[in-house]
Amino acid sequence: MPILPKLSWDRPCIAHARIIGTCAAALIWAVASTSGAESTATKEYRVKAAFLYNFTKFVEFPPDHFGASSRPITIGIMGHDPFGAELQKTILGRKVDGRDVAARVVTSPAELADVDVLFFPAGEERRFDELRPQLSGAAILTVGESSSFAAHGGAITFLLEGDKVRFSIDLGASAAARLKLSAQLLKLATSVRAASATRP
Amino acid sequence: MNNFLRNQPIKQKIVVITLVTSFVALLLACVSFVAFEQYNFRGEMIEDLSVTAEMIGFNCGSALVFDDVKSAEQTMKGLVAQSHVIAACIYAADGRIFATYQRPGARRTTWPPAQASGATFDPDHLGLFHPIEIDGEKIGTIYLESDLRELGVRWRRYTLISILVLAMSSLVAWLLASKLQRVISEPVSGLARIAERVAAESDYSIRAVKHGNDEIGRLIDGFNHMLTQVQGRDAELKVSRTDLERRVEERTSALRQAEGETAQKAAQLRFIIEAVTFSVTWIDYRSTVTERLINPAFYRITGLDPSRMPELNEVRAISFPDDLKRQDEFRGQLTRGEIDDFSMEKRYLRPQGDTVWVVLAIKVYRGDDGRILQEVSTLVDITERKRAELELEDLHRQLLETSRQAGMAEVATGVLHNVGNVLNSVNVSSTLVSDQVRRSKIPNLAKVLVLLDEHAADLGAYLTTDEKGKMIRPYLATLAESLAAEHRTIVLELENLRKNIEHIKDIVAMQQSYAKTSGVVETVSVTDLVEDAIRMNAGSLARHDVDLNREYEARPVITLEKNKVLQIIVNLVRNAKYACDESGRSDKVLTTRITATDENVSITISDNGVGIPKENLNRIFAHGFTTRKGGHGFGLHSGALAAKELGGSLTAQSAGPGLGATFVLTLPFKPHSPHEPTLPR
Repeated sequence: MPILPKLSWDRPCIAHARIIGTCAAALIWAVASTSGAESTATKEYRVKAAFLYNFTKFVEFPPDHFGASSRPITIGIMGHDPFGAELQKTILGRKVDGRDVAARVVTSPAELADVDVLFFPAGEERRFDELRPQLSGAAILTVGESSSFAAHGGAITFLLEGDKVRFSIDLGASAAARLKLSAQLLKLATSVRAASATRP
Repeated sequence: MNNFLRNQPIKQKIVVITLVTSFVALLLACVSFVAFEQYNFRGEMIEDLSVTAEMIGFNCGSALVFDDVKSAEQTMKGLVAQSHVIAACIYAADGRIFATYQRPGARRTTWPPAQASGATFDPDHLGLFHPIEIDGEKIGTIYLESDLRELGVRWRRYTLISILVLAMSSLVAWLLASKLQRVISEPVSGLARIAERVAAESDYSIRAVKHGNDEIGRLIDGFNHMLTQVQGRDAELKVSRTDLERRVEERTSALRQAEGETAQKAAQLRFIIEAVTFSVTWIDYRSTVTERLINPAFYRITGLDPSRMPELNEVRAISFPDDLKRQDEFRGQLTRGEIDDFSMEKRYLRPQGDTVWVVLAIKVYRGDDGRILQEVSTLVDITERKRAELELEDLHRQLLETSRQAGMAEVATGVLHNVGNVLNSVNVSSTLVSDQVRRSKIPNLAKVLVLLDEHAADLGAYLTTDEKGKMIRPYLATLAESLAAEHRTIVLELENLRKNIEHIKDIVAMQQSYAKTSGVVETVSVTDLVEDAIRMNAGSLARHDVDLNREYEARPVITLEKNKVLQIIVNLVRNAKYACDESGRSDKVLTTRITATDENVSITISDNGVGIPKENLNRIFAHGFTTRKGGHGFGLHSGALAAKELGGSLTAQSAGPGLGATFVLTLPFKPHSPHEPTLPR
């Protein structure tokens, strides 16, 4: 220490503060990036879960869809469940149009009876064709997440823009299912395929 | 304001009051109107902004739920159309800022934290938070900030309108008030002018004209009525003033005259006070300095130096000590309020060396509280009177002495007369005895003895046989008888003689007893006194054959000077006897009567003699008056005097000449002492 130049009292303080500030910033960034990296997949499905739930609000089911029944609006998940607990967490305690919201995995066409929204996780799109007889004419909002889903005839398809979840809408599909989609929803869609154009 | 208004004409007051009232009312209305407008517009602004927020929120709801910032921002750009919106911000449900909007040109970096729904007016902007809901679920909050330009514009606009309305209204109000005030002001100022005229011209015949039946109309009625009354009073007043002036004139002259008279009276009084021969001293205690007024006579009487006011102790110094003591006693009573005045005789030893007798009389005048206010004392010189009094007293004493001596002489005359009468009897008796003795038969006895001696030898024979001898025995018997008769006569006469001598002794002793007890008061029986008086005249009464008639109704005992009363009664009895004697009638009767009341004893001596003529009834008591030959006219006079001295009276009654007279001596039971000194008051 004796070999160091003698400094005024101000300088070492500022020097220390800068060092501490830099260290702190580095630490915060590290933690943040680590947790973000770890939860990217989880976050995506959490967002998708939220979107699924929110779609129910912007969809108008045909008047006879629920009849006098007070059953919950049910979100069906085709095949395997990619959400883990996220979907359940999202819909817990929520109500749409006075109805509870429920979610369950659908494996067989028979289970489609009271499903209102049907989500096809990636890799399950092929099942759409299998279910086509049950789905045609049924007031079921079909949502998928693979780029080919729309081609199968799904109404809404998730897509990622960067880390943001977006969606495209096929009005022909929704119209086929006798569903009316809110303009609010439409303006948010990255692309909207008009009904006449999409109709095969 | 009030002070300013107070002296303004009513006209102006009404205009000012009307204007002020209408202006204030209008101002209040305008202010209220502007304030209400502002308030309302604020509400409207909030309402408008809320609608905008609702709309934007609704349009951004889906963007918010689907995390589409761009879409939200796009939507918010539509706010450009609403130029008053400065900035907008959408918060996510967790409060994070989701999307923002700023008016072109604005550069804003900070945003308020998300808040619950509500609007806040700040000085330069209105901030409004509004929740964004989808299907009843709150998904975020929108914040809108609006400038207040419109508010300001509106405020200015409405203020201007208000001022214009106010100005116009005030102008109209002024015009109306100026016109309409006449309804009130003109009758009032008309009344005021009338009142001024009445006051200025003192003409009460003027009347105010009435315009209506309101309060002013009534006031005018009242005023006119009052004027009528005042007019009446004024007329009366004029009459009475003239009368009053006349009366004042009269009174003044009367007063002036009275004043002159008073001054004259005062001068007269002063002259009198100074002229009177007795001293007058007036002391006035009312003022703080005691005032004294002394007339010249005071100095003349007291002999004090008249050149200066004498000191009290100087006057005391020349007073006799005994008199001073009595005077001080009176003065003490005066001071204590027991008496208001006194008078006394006193003596002054004048500085000149002689003594003056004065009557000092003091009288005080008291106030309501009993305090002495004024004192008047007079001194009257009575030295001359005193001297005269002393001389008179001396004269009286001499007179009394004379009268007493005269009375005594009368009594002595009576006594000597009685003694003389008795001495006559004594003389007769002694002559009789001496005649008897001279004519006695005793010498015959000696002749018989000689005869017997001659015949001593033959005495027996001589006596029995001799002719002469035989005569001796009967002779002796006759002689013895004669001698016995003689003896009886002599013894009788000697007895008479003894009795008469006894009588003389009694008379002398009685005279001595009256003479001795002169001036001594003793208690005696009135009956005894009357009897003594009768006894003193018994001889002459018997001699003149006057019958006595005693009527003693009472036998009282009285305390008095015995000899004086006796003299009176003796005198009365004697007069009665003379009266009877002179009448020459045969049935001469003298009646003595004694009667008594509770206070008096009356001794009445009545006779049936010559009586007293009416004209003499009053004169008989005068000194030197007599109807009797040889009378000296002193008896009744001294008797009346003596009766008076004894506190009684002596009165005479007579029916007329030849009808007798009655004298009544009345004496009080209580001894009276006329000479007891009494204090002059």
